[in-house]
Amino acid sequence: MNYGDLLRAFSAETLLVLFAGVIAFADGWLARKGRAEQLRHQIASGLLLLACAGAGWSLVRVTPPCMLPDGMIVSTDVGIHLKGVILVLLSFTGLIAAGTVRTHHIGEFYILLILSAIGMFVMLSTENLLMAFVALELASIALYILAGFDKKDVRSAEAAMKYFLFGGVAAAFLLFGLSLVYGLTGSLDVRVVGRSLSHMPASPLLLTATVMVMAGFAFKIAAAPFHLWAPDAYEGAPVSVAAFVASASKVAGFALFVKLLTVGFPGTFLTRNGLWDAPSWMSLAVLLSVFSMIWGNVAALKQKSVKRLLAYSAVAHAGYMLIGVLAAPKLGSNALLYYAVTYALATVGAFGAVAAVEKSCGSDKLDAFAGLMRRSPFLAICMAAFILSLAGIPPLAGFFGKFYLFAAILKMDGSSLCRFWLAGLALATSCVSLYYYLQILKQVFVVEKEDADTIGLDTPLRWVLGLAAAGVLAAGLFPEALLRVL
Amino acid sequence: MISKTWETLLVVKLLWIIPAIPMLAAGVLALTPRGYRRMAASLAIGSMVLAFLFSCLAFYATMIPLPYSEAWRQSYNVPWFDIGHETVRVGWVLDPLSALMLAMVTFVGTCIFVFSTGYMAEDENFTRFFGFLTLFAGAMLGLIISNSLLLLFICWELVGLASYLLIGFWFHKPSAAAAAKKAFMTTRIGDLGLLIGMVWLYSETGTLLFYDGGFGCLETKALIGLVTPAISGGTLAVTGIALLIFCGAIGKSGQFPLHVWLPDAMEGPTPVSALIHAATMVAAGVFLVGRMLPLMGADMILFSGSSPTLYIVAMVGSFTALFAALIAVAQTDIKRILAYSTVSQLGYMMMAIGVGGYPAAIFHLLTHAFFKALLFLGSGSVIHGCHHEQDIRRMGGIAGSMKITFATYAVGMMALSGVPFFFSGFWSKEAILHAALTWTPSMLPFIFGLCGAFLTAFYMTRMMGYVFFGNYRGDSCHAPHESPATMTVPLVILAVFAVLLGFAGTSFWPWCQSYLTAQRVRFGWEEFLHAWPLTGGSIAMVAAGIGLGWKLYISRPVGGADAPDILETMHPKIYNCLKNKFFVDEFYAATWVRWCGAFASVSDWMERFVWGGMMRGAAFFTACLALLNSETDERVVNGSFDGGCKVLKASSGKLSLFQNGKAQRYLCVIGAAFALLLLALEMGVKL
Repeated sequence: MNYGDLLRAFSAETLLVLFAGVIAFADGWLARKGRAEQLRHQIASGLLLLACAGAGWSLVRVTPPCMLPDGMIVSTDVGIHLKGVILVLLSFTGLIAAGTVRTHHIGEFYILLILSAIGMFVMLSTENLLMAFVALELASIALYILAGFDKKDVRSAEAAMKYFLFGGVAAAFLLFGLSLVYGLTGSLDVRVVGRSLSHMPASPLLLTATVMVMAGFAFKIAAAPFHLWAPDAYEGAPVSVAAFVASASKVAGFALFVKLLTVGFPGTFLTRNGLWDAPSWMSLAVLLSVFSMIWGNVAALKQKSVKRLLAYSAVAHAGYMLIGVLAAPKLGSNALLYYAVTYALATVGAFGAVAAVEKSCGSDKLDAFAGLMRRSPFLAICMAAFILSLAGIPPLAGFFGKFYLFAAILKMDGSSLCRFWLAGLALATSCVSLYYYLQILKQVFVVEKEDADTIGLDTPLRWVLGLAAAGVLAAGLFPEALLRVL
Repeated sequence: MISKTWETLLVVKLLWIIPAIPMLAAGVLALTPRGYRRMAASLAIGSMVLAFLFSCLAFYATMIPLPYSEAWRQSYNVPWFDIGHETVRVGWVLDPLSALMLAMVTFVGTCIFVFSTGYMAEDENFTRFFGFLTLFAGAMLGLIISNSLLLLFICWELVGLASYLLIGFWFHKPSAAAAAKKAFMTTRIGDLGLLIGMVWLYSETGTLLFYDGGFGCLETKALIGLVTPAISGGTLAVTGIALLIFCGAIGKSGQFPLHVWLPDAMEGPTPVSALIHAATMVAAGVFLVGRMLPLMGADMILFSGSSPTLYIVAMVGSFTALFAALIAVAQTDIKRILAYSTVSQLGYMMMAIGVGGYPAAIFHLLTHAFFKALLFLGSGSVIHGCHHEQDIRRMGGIAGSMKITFATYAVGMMALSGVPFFFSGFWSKEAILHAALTWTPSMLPFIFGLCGAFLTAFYMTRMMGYVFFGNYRGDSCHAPHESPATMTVPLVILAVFAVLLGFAGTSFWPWCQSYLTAQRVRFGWEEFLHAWPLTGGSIAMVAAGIGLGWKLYISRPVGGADAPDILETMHPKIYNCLKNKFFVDEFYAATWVRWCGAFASVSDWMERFVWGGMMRGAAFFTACLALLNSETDERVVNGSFDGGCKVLKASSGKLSLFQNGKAQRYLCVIGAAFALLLLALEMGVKL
C-alpha cells in the first residue's frame, strides 16, 4: 500500500481535519475583525456542515476493503455506514450548538467537535488494541474540553472536571488491561489476540485483564456502576456537548466495544468449574447490564432536571445495549447497532429540544416544559416523538430496537437460562421507565402554564428537530432498510 | 392486420376505464356540497359522454376482427387476491354483446342525464341525485364488461343499491321509502339464488371467470366437466346452477313471480324510471341469461337437444309477457302502465332466449331500451307539464299544448306496439315471435307472445287516448305546458333512434343478429318472404289492438276524470281483477309477509324471554365474577403494585442521595465495582 492509497483510505478524516483548519482561520479572522458572535457561529457551523457533507461524499467513494498491517485500519461496510451516522450526529450537534453555546471561542468549539469525530472514525475502523486506545483518547480528550466550554457556568467546569477525572481513571484501567493482554499474547492485532486467547487457560492474569478492559469500556458507555460521572457531566456540560456525548460517542463506543469483544475475546472460557460455556466477559456484561438497567431506570424516577433524567435513561439504555453485546457473538451485531443508532437519533433530538427550552426559560427542570404544546406545538410534537421512541412505543424506532434486542437474546441457544430472566428484567425495567418518560410528556401536553410565552425556534434547530423526528419515525416504519446496512 | 389485433388487445386491456370514469365522477359528487349544481350536472354528463366515446371505441374495436376471425371475443384477466393456494382472478371481456350494451347504456344514459337537468331542476338534492346516477352508470358498465361472475355479482349488487337509493330518493314520501325497501328485498330473494348458484358453480368448476383461454366456466372444458354424469351427478348440478342463476335474473328483470317490485319502483323520479327501471338495469337479468347462455343450455347435450333450463326460461318469460300486459290494460297511473309494459317486454326477451332466439332477445333489449326510455322520458315530460299529475284520468287533450312531447311519444308508442316496417319494435318483436314459432317443445310461448302483442297495442292506444286526446280533465287553473329544451331534445334524439335502430335488424338485413353471433351478414328477401304468414298475423294482431283501442278511447273521448273506464262498465269483475294486478301483492301480503311477521313475533318473544333470560343470567354471573375480580384487583394487585411503586420511588430517592456529587465517593464506587467484578469472575459466578 502506497501513500496515495493511504490518503484515499483516510480521505474522509483528512477532509475533516482540513475543514477544522479552515474553521480556525475563518473564525480567527472574523474575531479579529470584531464581527458579531452570531455571525461567527453561523459561519463556523456552516463550515462544519460543509465538512460533514464533504466527508460523507468521500465516504461514499472510498474503496473498501482497506487493510493496514496489524489491523491498524480495517474498513468495512458497516464501519462506513456508522461513520455516516456519526457525521449526521455531528452536523446535528453543530446546528444545536450554533444557537445555544455561550462562548467567545467559537471556532475552537467546532474544531474540537470535529477532532472528537475523527477519533470516533478511527474507533470505527481499527482492529488494533493500541490504535483503539489512541482513538478512544482522541475522541475523549476533545470531549473533556468541550464539556467545560461554558466558562461562565461553574457547573460546566465541574462537569468537565469529573468527566476528565473518571475518563482518566477509566483510560488507566483500559490501558492496563490492554497491556496485560499484550503481555499474554504478544500481539496488538485483535484477530491475533483472539486466536491466542481462544486456547489459553483462564489464568488470574487473564481474568484481571478482562475485568479491566470491561471496566474501561463500561465507563465509556456509562454502564452502572461506572456511570457516576454521567449525570453530573450531562447536567453541567453545554447541551450540545451532552447530546454529542450521549449519541455519537455511544454509537462509536459500542461499535468498538462489540468488535473487540467478539473478535478479541471469543473463547476466553471460565473453566474453573467447567460449567459455563460462554466467554468470561459475558458474565461481566450480564452483571453490568443488570446493574445499569436497574440503577438507571430506578434513579431516573425522581429526577427533576430533564438533562439528569436523560443521563440516567442513558445508563438504562446502555444496559439494554449490553444485552445486544451479549447476543452479538452468535447472532451478529446488527440488532445492537440498530438500537444504538436509533437511540442516538432520539437522544440528540431530545437534547436539542431541551436546548430550545433551556434557552427560552433558563431552566431544564421538568416544570420548564409545562404547557409546551401551547407554547410551541412543533417542539412539543418532536419531543413526544423522541421521548416515545426512547420509551419504546411503536411505531417509533425505539420499539423495534428493543424488539430486535430482546428477540436476539431470546434466540440465543445454549445451556444457560440467563437469557430468559435477562429479557424479563429488561421488559420489567422498560415498564418502569415509562413512568419517568411520561412525566415529561405529561408536562408537555397536560399541565397548563398561565404566564407562558411562546418559544421561538431558530431555523437550524427547527431542522434538526424535524429531521431527527422524521428519522425516528422512518426508522420505525421501515426498520428493515436500516437493519440491512448495519 | 397484426397491428389491428394489437389495438384490439389494448382496448380490451384498458376496458376498465369505461366504468371507472362514472365511478370516479360518483366519488367526486359524493363529496360535492349541495350548492354546486352546475358543476354536478356537467361532471355527470361529461363523464357519461366520455364513457360513451370510449364505448364507441370499444365497439369499433369489435368490428376490427370482422370478418369473424377467432378474435371476436377478447378477455383480459388480472389476479385480485389469494386465498390459501387459490388465486381469485377477475377480468373484463369485450365481445359484440358487451360492446353493444356499452354503447346503448352510455348513449341512453347521456340522453337521460341531460333530461334530468331539466326534470330535477327544482330539487334541492340535485348533486346527490347525479351522484347516485353516476354510481349506477359506473356499476352498470362494470356489470356489462365483467368477465367473472364474482365481479358481475358485485356490480349487480351495486346497481341494486343505486336502484334502492334512487327509488327512495324522495325518502320523505312514505310510499317512496316503502317502494325502495320492497324493491331491495324482492330483488334480494333472487340475488340469494344467484349467490348460491355462483358458489355452487365455483365448487364444481373451480373458476368464476367466463372466458379464460379455454379454462373459463363458460368454455367447453368446464361445461363438459359439468355435464358428464359420471362426475357428481352432472346433469343435476348444471341444471341446478343454471336455475339458481336464473333466479337472480328473475328478481332483477321483474319476471313473475318476483315482478311486484318494479311497478312500485315508479315512486322514484321519472329519469330514474327511464334509465334504471326500463332501459338498463332491469335488462341486466336478460343480459345475465344471455351472457351465461352456454351454461344455461349446457344440459341440452343430455336431453337430446332440449334443455330443461331453457324450457323454464321460455315459460317464465312468455307467461310474464302475457300476464303483465293484461295488468297494464287496467292501470290508470301513466308510469305504472309503462312499468307493467316493461315487465311484459322483459318477459318477451326472456322468452326469446329460452326459445333459442338469443340474438333476437338482445336486439329487442336494445330497441326496447331506446323506445322505453323515450316513453318514460315522454311521460316525465307529460308529468312535468301537468304539474306532477300522474293519473291519466286527470289528463287529456294535451296533444295541442305539448306538440313535441306528443310527436315523440307517438313514435315511442308505435315502436312499442310494433307498428309495421318503420319502427324498431316491429322488427325486434317479429324476430322473437319467429323464434318462438320455430321452437318445437311447445307452442305456448308463441301463443302468449301473440296475445301479448295484441294487448300491448291495445293498452298503449288506450293510454294515448287518455293522455293526449279528448278534453283536459285536470285542474283548469293550470294549463299544461311544453317542457324546456333540455327535456325535449333528448326526446327527439331517442325518437330518431327508436325509428332508425329497427333497420339494423330487419329480416332483409339482420346485421345486429349476425354481429352478435359473429356471422357474416347477408342481404336478401328470402327470410322475409318465408316468414310472411307470421308477419301478416302479427300485423293483424297489432292492427286489431290499435283499432280496438281507437274505437274505445279515441273515437269516443273519455268522459270525466271520475267516470268509470269503459272496460269497467263492460266487464266490472275482470276489470277489477286486472286493476288489482291479479291480487298478487295481496296474496304475498296474506302469505309470505304474514308468515314472516308471525315468525318475527315468535323470534321476538323468544328473544325477550328465552334468550334474553339466558343472557341476563349470564350477565348476572359475569357481574358476580367482575365484582370478585375488581375486589382482587383493588386489594391484591393494586395493593402490591402500589407497594412496588413506593419501593421503587423510595429507592430512587436513595440512589439520588447516594449520588452526592463528590468525586471521592464516585471513585470509591469504581474501585469497589472493579473488585466486585473481579471477585465474581474469580468465583466463577454462573449467570
